[in-house]
Amino acid sequence: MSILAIQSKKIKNQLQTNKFIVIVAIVLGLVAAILAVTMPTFYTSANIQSLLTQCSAIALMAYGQTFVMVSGGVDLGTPSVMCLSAVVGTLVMRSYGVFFGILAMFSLPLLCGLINGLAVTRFKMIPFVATLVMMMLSSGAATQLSHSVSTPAPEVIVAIGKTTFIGIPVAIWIMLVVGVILHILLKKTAFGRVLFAIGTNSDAVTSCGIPTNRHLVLAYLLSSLMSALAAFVLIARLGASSLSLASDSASLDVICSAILGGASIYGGAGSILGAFLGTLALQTLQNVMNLFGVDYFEMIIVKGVLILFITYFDTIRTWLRGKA
Amino acid sequence: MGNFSLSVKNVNKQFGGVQALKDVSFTAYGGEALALIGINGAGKSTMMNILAGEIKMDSGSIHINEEEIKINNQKDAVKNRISLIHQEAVVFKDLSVAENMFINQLDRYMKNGVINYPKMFETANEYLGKLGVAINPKTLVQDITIGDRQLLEIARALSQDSKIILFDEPTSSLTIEEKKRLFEIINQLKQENNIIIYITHFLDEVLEICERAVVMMDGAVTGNTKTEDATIDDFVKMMVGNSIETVVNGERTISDTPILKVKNLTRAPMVNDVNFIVHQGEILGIWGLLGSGRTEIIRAMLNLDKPQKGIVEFRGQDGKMREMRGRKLLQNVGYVTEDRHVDGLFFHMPIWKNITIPDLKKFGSFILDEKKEREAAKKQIAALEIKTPDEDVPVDKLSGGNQQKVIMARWINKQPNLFILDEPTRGVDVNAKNAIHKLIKEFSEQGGSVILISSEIEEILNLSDRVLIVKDGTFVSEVAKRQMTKQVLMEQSLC
Amino acid sequence: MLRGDADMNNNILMKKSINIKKFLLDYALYIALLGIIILFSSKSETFLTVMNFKGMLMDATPMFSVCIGLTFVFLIGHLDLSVGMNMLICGSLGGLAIVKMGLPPMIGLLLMLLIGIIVGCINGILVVKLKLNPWLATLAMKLVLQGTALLCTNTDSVRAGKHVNQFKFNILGIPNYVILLVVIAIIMQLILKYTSFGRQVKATGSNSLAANKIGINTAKVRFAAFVISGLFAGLGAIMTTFNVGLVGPSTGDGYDFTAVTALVLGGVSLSGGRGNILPNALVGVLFLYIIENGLAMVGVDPYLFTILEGVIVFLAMMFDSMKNKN
Repeated sequence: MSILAIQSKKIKNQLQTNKFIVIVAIVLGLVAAILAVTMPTFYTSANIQSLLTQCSAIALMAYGQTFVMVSGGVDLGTPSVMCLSAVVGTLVMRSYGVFFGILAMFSLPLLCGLINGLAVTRFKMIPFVATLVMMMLSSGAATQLSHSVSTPAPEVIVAIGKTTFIGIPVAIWIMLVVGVILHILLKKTAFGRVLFAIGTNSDAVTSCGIPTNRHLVLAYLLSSLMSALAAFVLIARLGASSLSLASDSASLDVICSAILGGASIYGGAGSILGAFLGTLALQTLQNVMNLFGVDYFEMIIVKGVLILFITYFDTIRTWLRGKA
Repeated sequence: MGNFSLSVKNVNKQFGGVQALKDVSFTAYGGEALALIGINGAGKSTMMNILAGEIKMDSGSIHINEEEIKINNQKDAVKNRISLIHQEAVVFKDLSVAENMFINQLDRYMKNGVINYPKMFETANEYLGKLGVAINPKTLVQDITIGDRQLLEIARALSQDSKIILFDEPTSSLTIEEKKRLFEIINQLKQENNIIIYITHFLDEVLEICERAVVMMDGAVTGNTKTEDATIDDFVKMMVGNSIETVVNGERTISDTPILKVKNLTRAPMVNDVNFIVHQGEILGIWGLLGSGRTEIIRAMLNLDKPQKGIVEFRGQDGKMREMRGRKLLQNVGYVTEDRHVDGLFFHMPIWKNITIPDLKKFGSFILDEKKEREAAKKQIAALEIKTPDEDVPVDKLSGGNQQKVIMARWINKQPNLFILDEPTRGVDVNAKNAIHKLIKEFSEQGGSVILISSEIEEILNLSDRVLIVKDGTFVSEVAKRQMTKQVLMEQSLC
Repeated sequence: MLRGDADMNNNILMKKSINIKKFLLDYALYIALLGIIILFSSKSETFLTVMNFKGMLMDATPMFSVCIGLTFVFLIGHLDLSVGMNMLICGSLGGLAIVKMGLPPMIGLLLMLLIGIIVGCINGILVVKLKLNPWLATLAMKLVLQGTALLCTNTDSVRAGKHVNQFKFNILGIPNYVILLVVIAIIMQLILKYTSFGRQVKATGSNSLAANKIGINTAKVRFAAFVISGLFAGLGAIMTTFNVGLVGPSTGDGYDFTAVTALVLGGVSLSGGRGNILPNALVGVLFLYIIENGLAMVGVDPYLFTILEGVIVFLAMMFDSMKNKN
């Protein structure tokens, strides 16, 4: 085969395996075009910036979620752990300074991730159930510690939140740069490859002499680490901790962004670029609905139905993959 | 005998390109037990599953008392009074014995719309009593032994008014007491003019309990005889072929240097105090009947199933024998599992990823060099003649033989000193089989050692320098190359 | 294939010694319950009073109702996280029918049950027919139901209580709806134990492959379980209306989680096939409500209860998983 033929075949192959991402990207493109015509308010710099910064927290968590889903699990607790991290972070920062605040903000989620990982590997709990418990525990703890009140973040953090490089806010930079790093980690390292293998057939991985437990725990640690990073972005942007994201809706947002990006609840698939696009798509939808004046409750109904459709697509897609 | 009979005529069944049953015909009579014997894959279970309605035949017919019947599902089988006693009892652990027995006939024990437990327990006792068994019908199935669960299935069969009872390898997990009990029950069933069909590979049982034996090999019937007219030798000939003895390759000189030493390996109840040594450059065959514990021994050795006792020592690069704790041995060998579909292949992942997975360190310390991986894969594809347009094809699209070659390629790529192969040519076509055999021989000629588990007598004879016979989870004898014949292997595994 | 058998046989022999442990473990819950009651009554004078306990039982009726239905879903090996919001929508719509549309109260209450059944059917279609992932599907339904309910009520409380007060009376000092619930619980337990449907539910959860092999229509059984779960969420709405007199925007909040905790704690296994409404679900619910009540009596921060609940369910799930591994 000529080199050109091989190249084009490779591209075709890539496109086929990432069919879903392509579809999402095309839909996004269409939506963007439609919006340009019908809703000029969307394209104000303020709105786009606000949209993208909103995306950044969710996107970071969706990246982490992708790793966990690739390995065949799921992490329901990410937004709640993020809120806990934000609350703990701001509280510690207020009393002990930025350094210890950041330390606390990152170490607590890592502990949560470790517990999740151990629950799934050592105690053989179903990931959904284990992380559901973690979700309730961390949102309960977050509510308890903050007494349902927002804690303001120190000046330094707020300043970081306002910084821009080439006109693009730090939050968006973090989302993009971390995305690139994690994409490499997932697709181009042994760690990522083994996670895909575990999600495809974990018994086969064991027979190859590769320790699966270690990899699974790392995946959950990574997911919680992303929660911590998202918390940082959040308090930098808002200037304070917030409990608004410790909800079922946010949990499902993160999972669905990952699924839209190609991840499957059945394991063995996923993409960081996809998770990014998926987050963008979902948040754009929300943003547009807001601009159209859609009620909050109407929004969650739409979200719920959308999630049902997305779950259905995941099932169909997996079935097709099995057949094909 | 009466005129109660069950006949199968010209039954054919294909499974994904392999002819599992070829024109099978035989007749079983009331009051008799008919044995279905043959080595693994001969087609016995497939035939039973067709009779029990769990799978459908491609062509052929089934007759009861000379009248043809149709069996399309289990309900049909039960209607025709056929019941299958499965190798693994179909039971519900969280329900009681009585509930298990009558779970699909609960309406018979209803009074005013509610289950009449006293009547159910009473009836259960009756059937259990008929089998001479004293289990409290109120006990939860999770608290009774496997032998008792089997009896539960028999009682269920009786309660469904079955007159044709099929047994699938019933004695593999029974104690001697339970086996005696089972035989008494079978004799009783025979006296009541039931038809018994009995799958086993314990040939001594065939002579003990069955009046007739149908021998199968490679899906076809190779023998049909009254047991009083036959000996074990006759059966063995019919099971493995009466052809001229395969030319067994000449004896090789094997080095004395051990590469693997296993001492006192125990994992109750399937692995009992196993001791053996593998030498450098040797191909050690492990042969035994189904249920003898071959795979269990290997899995215990590799710590895939944690053993209760045992020391495993492996020769390091420096020539010293070191104890391997935990899964250390697994990380140093190439292990081809018994069933590639279960724990071998990564479906939907391309060939090259399936090949490079055990040794990714070779391709980069952090970032994997995909080009190098693909090169390595392409090399293996060429060397093993894996039939595929390129290395990107997902493995599920390959034929069985090519899939197994991918698994072999995976390990060859890692270049271990010891290969452990469990049924390496199962479900593989003749050409691929020969290619894999060639590979194994080449590997050992280059100094590599192999542990080979196989149910295919030809394969074991062809490749092994030495064969260890397994029975009841322990090695009972060792056969050297010059003594190897099919007869010897079969005999050794039976006594 | 025989590996499992061998391990089973091995385990039977080891089971004899584990049986004693199991016995202790089963009764450990009752012992702990007793211990907790003693502890709280020593710390608070108002704890061990008839009034307090009566109040507790009345408060626990909606949760217990939900748990009756959820038990069926657990028994088939699934989870239904939409129960809380199902209760919300039943209570909201049924209540609105009484308060805003002027329907007779009895009709309104029946409407609550009907809506519960409809939601149950939807769940059944999603999980059994369309084969969606049951966790994601019921979690998504939770959002849909909550949104719809709050949209209809505009986050106002629906005060149907005064319309149904006419039906309230006490028997020997205990409110009639509590007694009704107990009677219904007994009936459902009898259905579980004495009907072929009940046995099929247990069989499906215990070994669905075997259940199919033996001719049980597991799809029908699983669908029915979701419908029952929906029905009892509706009954929970009725209980709430009677008990508190209203259905508000936070009704049903966290019910899914507490119900799961109560069931797992009480001994209804998440993996299916094991457990009963009586005593398991009942004890689980009582345990949680007694602890919550006791903690409040002693003056502990209520937020702490959520964390404690999380720890309890984590431990209970751990034991459940490990019990299952064996």
